[in-house]
Amino acid sequence: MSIDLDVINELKEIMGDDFDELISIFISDGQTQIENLKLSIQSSNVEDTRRFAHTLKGSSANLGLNALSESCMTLERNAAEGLPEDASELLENIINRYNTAKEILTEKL
Amino acid sequence: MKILIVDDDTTNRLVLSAYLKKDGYTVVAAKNGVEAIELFQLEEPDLILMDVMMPVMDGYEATIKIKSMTTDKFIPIIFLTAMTDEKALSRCVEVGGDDFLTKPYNRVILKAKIDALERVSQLYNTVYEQKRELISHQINEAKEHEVARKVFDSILNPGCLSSDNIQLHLSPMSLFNGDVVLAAVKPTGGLHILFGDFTGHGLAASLGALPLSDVFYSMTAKGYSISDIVREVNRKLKQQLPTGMFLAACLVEIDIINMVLKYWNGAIPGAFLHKGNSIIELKSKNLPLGILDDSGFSDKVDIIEIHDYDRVILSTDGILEAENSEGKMFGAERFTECLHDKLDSDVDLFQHILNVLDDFTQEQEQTDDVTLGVITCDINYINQLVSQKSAFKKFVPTHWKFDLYFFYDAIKSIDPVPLINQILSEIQGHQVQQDKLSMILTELFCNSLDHGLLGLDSSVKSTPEGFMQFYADKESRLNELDSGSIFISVKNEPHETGGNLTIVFEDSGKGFDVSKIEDNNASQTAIDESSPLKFSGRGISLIRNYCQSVTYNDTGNRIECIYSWTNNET
Repeated sequence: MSIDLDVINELKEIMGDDFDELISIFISDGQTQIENLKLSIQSSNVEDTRRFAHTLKGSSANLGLNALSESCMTLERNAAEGLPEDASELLENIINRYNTAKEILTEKL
Repeated sequence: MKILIVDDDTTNRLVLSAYLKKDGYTVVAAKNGVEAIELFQLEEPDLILMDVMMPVMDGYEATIKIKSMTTDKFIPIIFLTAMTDEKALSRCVEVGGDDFLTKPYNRVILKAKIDALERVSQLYNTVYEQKRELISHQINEAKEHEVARKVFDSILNPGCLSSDNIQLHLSPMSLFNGDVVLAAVKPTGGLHILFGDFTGHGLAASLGALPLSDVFYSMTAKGYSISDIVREVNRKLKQQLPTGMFLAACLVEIDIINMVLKYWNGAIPGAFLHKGNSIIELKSKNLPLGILDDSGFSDKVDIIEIHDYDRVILSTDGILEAENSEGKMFGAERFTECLHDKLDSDVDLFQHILNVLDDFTQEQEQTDDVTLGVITCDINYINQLVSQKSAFKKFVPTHWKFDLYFFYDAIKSIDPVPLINQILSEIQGHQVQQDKLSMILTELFCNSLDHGLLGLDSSVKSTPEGFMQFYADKESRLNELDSGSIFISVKNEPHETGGNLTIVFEDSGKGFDVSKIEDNNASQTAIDESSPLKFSGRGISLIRNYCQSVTYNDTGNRIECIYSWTNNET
């Protein structure tokens, strides 16, 4: 289950009109986090890498985007002691999963 | 219920607040620790959901600050965290977090945690509220105790407890003492002492001391004997104290005119008269006060001859029951033993008893009120107390007269004898010997009522059956009485050492053949056992014995007596 549609449907039901706002904020915030991650990995800033991965991990989990959240968690964990060698691959993975999620979420609008 | 969400991530805030609003909570949200503190003060939320990692001020710091601002109220803080980092979790607890919530949020768990903490916070706030109430009650109570204690002290100490011949040791277990010691100088000389121990101790036990001291001091001041006082105290305590509460008491009169000690002891174990080389126990022969009805109560006092400097030792059972470290009681034996000890001239008995008790108990804590009193029968000193006491109103014999009318309905409920006594003592203080006068008045009233108004025949009283019949008839006739009256007049003619009282009783009855009783009495001044007027004649002969003259009118419904009195107080 890479994306938990039950969570998204429940949120849509509970939030009503606010759901659209939630999705657009997530999509734009997610984009921002990914840009931030790119920069911090390029500049080998471990602290920032961990923090941005952590934030995206949390918000994606709350929307039932389990696959994306897991990818962020892997990056966060691997960055615990220095920048991981596969940081760029992990980021690639995050970006792919983000894009998939974005498509599905946009359909729900 | 208002909940504050603190999270820097907008998505998280939106999702959480959607969940919470759905469950009916009011939600406010802050993006970081600083905003959280501001909103906390502004919105006064009941619960906080706190993210850990935030810019500006993180969740730990915000939690420490908020917890330090809420000492009088419990505001639960739930940390929003990934349950992965043990160090981070323990830090959450350290700074004062009350629970965790892991991401992703689960609505059911979220609701359950909030409900649980809401119950805890209600409990906490109730307890806190009660604690605050309790503290304010305690403060009030302490104030009230202080006031009550002042009232008690001033009520219980108008007597002469501080006199030099009275040595007293009082050590109450609490603010109030279940033990009571009262002492007062009699208006005619001598001392009255009451040593009492109420059941229990503390405030409840000392409450009974109020009616007790009232009766003791006022009756002593009016010249009543300890018999009268102990009877009245018993009656009052029986009436006013709850069942199961009573007073063990020993009343003592030191009569320095006749050099005797009179005492009544009801359940005080440690009462003695120390006569130098011999010791007499003032034995308890009665139940404590406040148990028996007046009719079953005995006010009989015992009388012992005393000499100058004899000592009365009174103690409550707190001394006898004082325990040492091994749990042994001091006991009556040790107590009497130490009374017998030969003492050096520089140690007095009172101090000796306390020393022996101290040696015995060492540092053991008291379990009951311990009270000890030693009263020295120092005649000169007690005499001196009386003359100091005479600062009270000096009465001189004066001219006066009062008339009283009692109609049939009043007669059923009023006993005029104490009323007349009362009036008399208001006018002449305690100069008039009221015991004799009371007997005269009682006889006069009975004659007017029984024979005059009720028409009873005293001669039936000569047999035991008739005696009973007489009183049965008296009761029923008194009940049915619907007319008639008794007139009473008392007049005083003063002379140098006292006065002559002219006492008149006149009833509205038919009267009697005066010549009969006059003849009868002319031939017998003392009571003649063979006379048919054996019982009925007694009253009249008593009146004749005590009065200077007794005369009837011709119709026999009016009697006039002259009673001569000399000033009691000189």
